[in-house]
Amino acid sequence: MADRTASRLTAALLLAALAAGCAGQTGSGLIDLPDTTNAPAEGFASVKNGSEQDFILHVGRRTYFDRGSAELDDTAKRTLKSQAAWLKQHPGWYAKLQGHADDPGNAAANQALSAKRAETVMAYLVQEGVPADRLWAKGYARKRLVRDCKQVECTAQNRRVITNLRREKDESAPD
Amino acid sequence: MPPFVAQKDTETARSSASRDGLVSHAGGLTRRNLLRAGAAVAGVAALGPLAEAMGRLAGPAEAATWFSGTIADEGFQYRLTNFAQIKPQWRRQMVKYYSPEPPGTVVVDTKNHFLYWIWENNTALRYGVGVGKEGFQWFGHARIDRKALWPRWVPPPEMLKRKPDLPKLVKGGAPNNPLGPRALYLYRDGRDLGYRLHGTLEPWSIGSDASSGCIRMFPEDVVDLYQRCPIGTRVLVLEHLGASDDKS
Repeated sequence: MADRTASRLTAALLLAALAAGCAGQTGSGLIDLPDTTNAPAEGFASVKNGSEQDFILHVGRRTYFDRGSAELDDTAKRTLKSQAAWLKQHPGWYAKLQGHADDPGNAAANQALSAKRAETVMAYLVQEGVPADRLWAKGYARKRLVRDCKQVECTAQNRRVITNLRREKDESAPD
Repeated sequence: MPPFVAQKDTETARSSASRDGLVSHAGGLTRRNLLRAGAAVAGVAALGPLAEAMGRLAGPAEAATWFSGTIADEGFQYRLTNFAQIKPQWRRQMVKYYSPEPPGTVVVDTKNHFLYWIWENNTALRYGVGVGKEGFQWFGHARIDRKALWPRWVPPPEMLKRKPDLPKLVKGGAPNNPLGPRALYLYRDGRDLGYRLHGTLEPWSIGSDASSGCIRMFPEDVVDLYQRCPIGTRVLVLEHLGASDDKS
């Protein structure tokens, strides 16, 4: 609570300083942004075409799956077509496909399902024209839940593949 | 009511035009932006009436300046928003977000006309929205149990009473369908609440109180949100951020 108050105060002071014309930097991202709701998220104050932020803001990294399934539905295919178009337009990026599961079955079943989801996404992106050597897939089972509860409010968010942009390919990296 | 879904595989170079529009108008990290963020915190609802007045004044010729071509989408087409005409705070953006609501939740701040899609690490994707003319009449928790591409529109009985010349049903994809290209339907305990997140034919109404009870978004944004929110997504409609959520 004290932290929040302090950060609000900092934000107010910063805004006051800026209003008074004290800002030395513009557009460089060097200013500490205030920790208040509605302040631009880090890296998003100015979004350049072809940047990771551009991908996150205008395409989206997440593809969702139905309970117990690694099949792509029409919505998933639309997301992946957008991703493929972006990746083809910006060939400097690699992508690690991170599969997740929060489904009925034991740990091994969830591990297998999460890996299969990631591989399915990779195959679809390749089918859409993204070179296979720019992609790799890995399953994380239930290790990185968006939110942990038994209800669909949680599980629907967790049954996903994240298309995580990378500047180089390193399949041995731990995450 | 069965979902009116146009299942067609007419995928196009979707949204590249709208993306470029958004990118080219995304502001730099400037004093103005920070002040804008401050203004957003302070509440930007005061801009609503102005935008609404502009909407009323916009005749067919003037209305055209709010659009920037059309885009094919799933067998139909919609008019792209001319984002140069849109105040920066109503454009889609990633913001910091501090709240007790968990990631994977949609939060609607009806007073300040923002919709937040909450992510991890105290961030949220924020969209500008328009809400009901009389202010939103319903607050509380809901869940997206149904989504539709190019939904048909059936005006509710109250609205037909007010405006008897309205059609009883407007087909999905029809140019005069006010829901636009997508709708996300809010349910609670399996019951359709009658509220939807949907598109609009009137981009000038985003940021104002101008629809009847529903949450309207730029067509580009409701298309985007449709992709990001799976069935089962939790929604919280608030009078404003920080307001009690147990009114319903």
